[in-house]
Amino acid sequence: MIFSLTGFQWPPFITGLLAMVVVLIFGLVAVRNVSTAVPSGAQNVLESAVETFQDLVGQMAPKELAPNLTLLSLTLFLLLVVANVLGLLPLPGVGTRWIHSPTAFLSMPAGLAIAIFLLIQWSGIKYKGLGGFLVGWFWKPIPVFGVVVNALEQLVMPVSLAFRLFGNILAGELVLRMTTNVPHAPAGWLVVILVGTLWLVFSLVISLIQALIFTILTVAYMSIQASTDH
Amino acid sequence: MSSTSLTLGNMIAGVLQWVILLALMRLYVYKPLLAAMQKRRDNIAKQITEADSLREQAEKLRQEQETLLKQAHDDAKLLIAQARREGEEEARKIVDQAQREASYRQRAALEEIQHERDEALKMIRAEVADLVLMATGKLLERNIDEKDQERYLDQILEDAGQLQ
Repeated sequence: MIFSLTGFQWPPFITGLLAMVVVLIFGLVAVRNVSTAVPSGAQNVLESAVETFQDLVGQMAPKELAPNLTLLSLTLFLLLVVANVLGLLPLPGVGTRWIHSPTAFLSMPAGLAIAIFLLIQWSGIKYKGLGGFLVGWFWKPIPVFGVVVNALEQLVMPVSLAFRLFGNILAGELVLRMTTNVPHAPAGWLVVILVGTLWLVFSLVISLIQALIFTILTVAYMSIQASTDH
Repeated sequence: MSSTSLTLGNMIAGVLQWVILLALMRLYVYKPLLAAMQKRRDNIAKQITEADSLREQAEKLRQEQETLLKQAHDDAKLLIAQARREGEEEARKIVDQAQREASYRQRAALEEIQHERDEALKMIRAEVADLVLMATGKLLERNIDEKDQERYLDQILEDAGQLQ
């Protein structure tokens, strides 16, 4: 793992933009001729997504935080789903040097996780007050030394978020590539078709699940920090 | 640089992509979508309220009509009873009048009969008196003075009255 302040990787940046654009186009299509009667097509899909997230966030987050957190987490989820699936599409160019999932590069998940870490601290300060926030950090569960436990807990959270997503998506892509690299082995085409197809389906499911886990954990962490009775 | 490289530029870019997407989605997608959803919710709530009030009105109308119908029924019963009573009264009146008329006619007839009879008796009495005078005059063959005639006549009439 190399950390670079100045280096820049263009492929994940471009595919990240691509994911953005896809989500935005889907959103615009969904609200084109927006209907207040019975919704259909893309509008219906987006509405059920919004309602699902409203329920999800509503169960965990404080009331005043819920509307913003709903949109924030829904957008994160949509972006991650598209980003995760991007590297799996059976299209020309996918899997070459330029087109991979942006989440198959550590930088994007790590950046998101750090941003979420900061958001969580911010919501802690906002909803508990600075005093309550500091008490939560330094005085719970035991005075002064509680900070060790809390620091560990709080720092592990973004790290685990980032690596869970990155690892799953990278592994999905790598193994998919491997299954396409065996045609010269005996009955290699059979392996490609059987194992490759199975792995593709599995990876698609993993892509969805990882996007959802990343999002739900974000909502959960923020809700826990923002709830004053904790 | 590989997948596991951590570059600050890409980290910031990833976050910016999320934030910019959120801003754009908020402005162009979530806002109209949430507004539409809210409007639908309001419409449905309004329709439910309207349906409730309509049902209430219908129920009220039904009760009113039921009351009216019942009242009309009662009125009809009352009218029929009244008509029957009036009819009976009318019939009784007619019968009474007929009876009255009949008895009046009967009485009139009886009176007339009585009257005729009296007339006839009077005539007969007068005739008898003349005959008696004639017969008596002839028998006595003398003139009876007027005083005597009157006395005799009275005597005879009295006798005739006793004969009756």
